[in-house]
Amino acid sequence: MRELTNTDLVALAGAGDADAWREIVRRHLSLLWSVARSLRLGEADAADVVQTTWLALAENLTRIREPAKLSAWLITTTRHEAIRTLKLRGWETPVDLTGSRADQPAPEDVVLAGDRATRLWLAYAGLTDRCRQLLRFVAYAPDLSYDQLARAMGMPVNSLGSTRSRCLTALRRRVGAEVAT
Amino acid sequence: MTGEHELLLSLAAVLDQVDPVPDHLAALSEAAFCLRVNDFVLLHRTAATAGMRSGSPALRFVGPTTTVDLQLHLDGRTGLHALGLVHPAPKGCTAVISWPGGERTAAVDPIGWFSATGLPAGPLRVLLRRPGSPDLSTGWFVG
Repeated sequence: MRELTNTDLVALAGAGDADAWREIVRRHLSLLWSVARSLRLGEADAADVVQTTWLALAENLTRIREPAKLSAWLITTTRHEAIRTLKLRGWETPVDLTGSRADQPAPEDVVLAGDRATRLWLAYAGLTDRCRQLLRFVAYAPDLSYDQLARAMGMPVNSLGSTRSRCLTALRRRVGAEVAT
Repeated sequence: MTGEHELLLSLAAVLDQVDPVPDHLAALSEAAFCLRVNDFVLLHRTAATAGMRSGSPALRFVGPTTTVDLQLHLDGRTGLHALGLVHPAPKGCTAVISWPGGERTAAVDPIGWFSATGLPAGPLRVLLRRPGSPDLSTGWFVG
């Protein structure tokens, strides 16, 4: 299954192939979790949103017009459902003034095995919201096109390349700074 | 840690430790495949509309000839309460409100209203069963 394209997998799953479905889930679950969590949903709501996306996909396998754009469809569906859930709960996306976030623990509360992982985490946690969101998507789905990434981020595609480079540079610089301190 | 690919792989590994996908979500994601229903006409969800009675946001689902407005609110004692309005009002129609693991059936009255209480928070779907016509589905949404 791992060598098949998303188009192949959608066709097979649409015909009832459960293995193809499991492969679609394996490829995208961490990414969709990231999309929901990056919009500041707590764990329970994020899990509801991602589950809802899978339920929607299962019933739309034969209706998706461009199966090659499966990743984009999943990202867009998850993002829309997450935003609607925030509104349903009466929340707007909060501004990160206090450093208290629903989608990740405080940097100092995280214990990771190994200095390297700890340095990387501290460097990542110190980035801007936008850089953290973008790099999280890129880390889980390095093959996403800029167009797909822009959908996931809810930002214009034309500034994505420069933002991506800037965020990676900032992460590298911060990892270096963590080594130096 | 100089290569971009290696850096991103390491970051994914760190994020997997800091904010892992819950184990139960992986199982629910795989199980979604078994809950699919294919024989229905899908209504399209539009942006939140003005409330039907209380002024709070409602969901609107639109099809070629039928529109469904749905309002959800959480009652501390009885769980989630759904109030729906089908228009134009169909004859002899029932609404089946489903969630993974259960469903509740409510009659649609002659004006088009239906309601259900005690629904769980999480994924929900409303199927309208119409005698002699295909079911109408709102598709899944978070309640």
